[in-house]
Amino acid sequence: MNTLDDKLSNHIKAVFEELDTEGADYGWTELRKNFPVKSNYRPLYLWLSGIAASLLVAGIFLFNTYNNNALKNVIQHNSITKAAPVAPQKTDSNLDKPVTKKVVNSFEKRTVSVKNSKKNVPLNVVETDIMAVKITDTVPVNELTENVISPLANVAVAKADTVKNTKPTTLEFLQKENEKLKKEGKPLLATTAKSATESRKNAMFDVYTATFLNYYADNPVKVNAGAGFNANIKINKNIYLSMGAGISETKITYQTTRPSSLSSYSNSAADLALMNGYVLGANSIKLNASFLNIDIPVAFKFYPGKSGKYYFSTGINSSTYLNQKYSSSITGFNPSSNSYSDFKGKTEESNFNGFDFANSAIFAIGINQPIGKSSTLTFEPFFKPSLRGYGDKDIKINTAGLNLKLSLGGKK
Amino acid sequence: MFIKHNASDAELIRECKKGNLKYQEMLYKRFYAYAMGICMRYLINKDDALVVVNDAFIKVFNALHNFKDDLEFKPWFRKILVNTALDSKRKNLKYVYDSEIPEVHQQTMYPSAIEKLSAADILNLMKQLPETHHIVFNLYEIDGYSHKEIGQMLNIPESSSRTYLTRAKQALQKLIQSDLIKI
Repeated sequence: MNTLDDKLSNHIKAVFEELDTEGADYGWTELRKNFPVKSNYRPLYLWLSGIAASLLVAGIFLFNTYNNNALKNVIQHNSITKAAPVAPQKTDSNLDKPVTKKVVNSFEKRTVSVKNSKKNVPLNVVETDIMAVKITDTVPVNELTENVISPLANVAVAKADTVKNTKPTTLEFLQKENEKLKKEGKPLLATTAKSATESRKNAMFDVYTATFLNYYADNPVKVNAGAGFNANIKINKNIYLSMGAGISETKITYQTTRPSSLSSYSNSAADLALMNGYVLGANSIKLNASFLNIDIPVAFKFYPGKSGKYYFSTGINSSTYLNQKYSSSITGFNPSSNSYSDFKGKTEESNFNGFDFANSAIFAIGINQPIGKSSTLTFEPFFKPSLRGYGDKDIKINTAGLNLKLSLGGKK
Repeated sequence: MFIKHNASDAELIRECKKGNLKYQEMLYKRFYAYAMGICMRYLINKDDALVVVNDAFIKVFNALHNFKDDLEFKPWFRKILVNTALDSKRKNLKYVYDSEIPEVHQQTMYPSAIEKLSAADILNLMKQLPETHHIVFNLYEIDGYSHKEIGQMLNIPESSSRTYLTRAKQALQKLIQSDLIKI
C-alpha cells in the first residue's frame, strides 16, 4: 500500500513539476497590470484644495444665512416704518418750523433705525432707506436742499450728544408708535425683540468631544476619541443644517476578515515568517491601520415637536488625513522547535495626504439638557456605518459612540 | 542595457533585487511552469491558478531583498506559492468534522494504472474529492508538510489532518479504479 501511495505521489509530482509552459507570456502581461504598484500618493495641493473647498462651502452657507437675516430685519423694519408715516403729524409744533423741525422728525426716525442697528442691522442700509422715506413723506421736492440732507446724514452717527438730548422724544415716539401698532396687532418692540431672538436661534455653535468604538466585521473593537466644533444653521422651524470640523484618532485591527487592499502588508510579514522556516496559521496575521484625521461632518438635525429637547440627525462625514499608518504582524509556528514567534511586516506611513468625501454616513440622536440661558449640553449617541473606505487603502471602518456637545448661542 | 539571457538563477535574483524589470520578466518566465504546476494542484482551475501564481510572483519581487543569496530559490518560492494558494482557498474552505468524513472502503489499485494518469486525469480526480481532502493530500503527499504543520496552516487538529489524508487516499484509489473500469 505504502509503495503504491509513494508511486502515486511521485507520479503526481513528476506530472506537475512543469506545467503549462506556453502561457508564460500571457501570464507576464497579466502580472504587469498590477506590478509595479502605481503610487496612489495624492499631491499636497489636492489635499489642501479639498479642505479649502469644504471651508468655502461652509463659509458661503454662514455668510448667506447671516446676510439673509440682516436683510430680513431691515425689510421688517422698513415695512413698519412705511406703515406708519405719521410721525411728523404727531407733534403739531414741529410743523411750525418747516426745515429744522422736519430735520428733528427725520432724526427721530433715524434714531429708531440706530437702535435697531444695534441688533445686527447694517447701519448704512437702514439710514439710506429712512432718508428716502422721510424726504418723500414730509419735504416738498423744491425745499429739498443740501442743507437739509447733509445734517440728516451726519447727525445720527457723528453727533452722539445730540442723540442723547433727543432720547426722551425718541422713547415717547417709540411708545406711541408701539401702541398704535399694537392696536393693529403688530407691536414694534415685540417684533424687534422677536427678530433678535430669531437671529440668535438661526445659528448655534457646538463644541464637542467624542468617544467611540471602531470595528469592522468580526475583527477586534478599538476605542478612540476626538473633538471638534459644529455650526448649526436654521433651515426651517424644525430642521437645522449642522456642519463643522473635528479631529480624531481612528485605529483598527483586522485579524479575521481582512481587506484585500492590505494584503501586501500581510504578505510581507508572511514571507518573512516563511523564510525563517515558520508555518502560518489561518488567523495568525494582524493588520493595523491608524489615522489622525480631520472629520468634516455635514448633517441635518430634525427637531420633532416644539420643545427642542431632542433631535434626530442624519448626514455624511468626509475625512482628510494628517497622518496615515499601516502595518502588519504575524505569529508563525516553528515545527522544529515547537514554538511561536512574532514577525513584523511592512509599515507604511504618510502625512497630509488624502481626502475622502462621504466615507461614512451619520445617524445620531441628540438629547439636550439646558445649562444657563444660552447654553445647552447635548448627549448624542451616534452610529457611522462605512460608505467608502478610509485613507489610501480604502479600508472599511464602522464607528459607534457618544458625542458630548456644548451648544453656545441659544437654544432651539 | 545588456541582458544576459542565460543568466543563472543566482544572477537573476541578484538583478531582480535591484528592481530590474527585464530580469524580473526572465525570472517569471523561467519559473512560471514550476509555479503553475504547484498552483494547479490546489486551485484545479487554470485561471484561478494564474491569479495565485501572479500574486506569489509579486510577493517574491517585493520580498526578494530579504532573500539570502546562499539559500535555494525553488524551496523558498514553493512555500510562498503554497501559502498564497491556501490564502486564496481559505475563504471557501469549510472544514468537515471527523464524524462527517465519508467512509471509503479500501480498493485494490494497480501500479500500472497510476502511470497512465495524465495531469488532466489527476486534476479531474482531485476535483471529485472534498476540498479539504485534496488540500491535505497535496500538502502532505506532494509538498512534504507534516501533519503538525498542516494542522497549523489549516487551523485543524493534527488528528484531523491524518484522517483527511487517509480518506483522500481511499477516495483517490476508488476513483482511479472506477475510471480504469470505464476505460
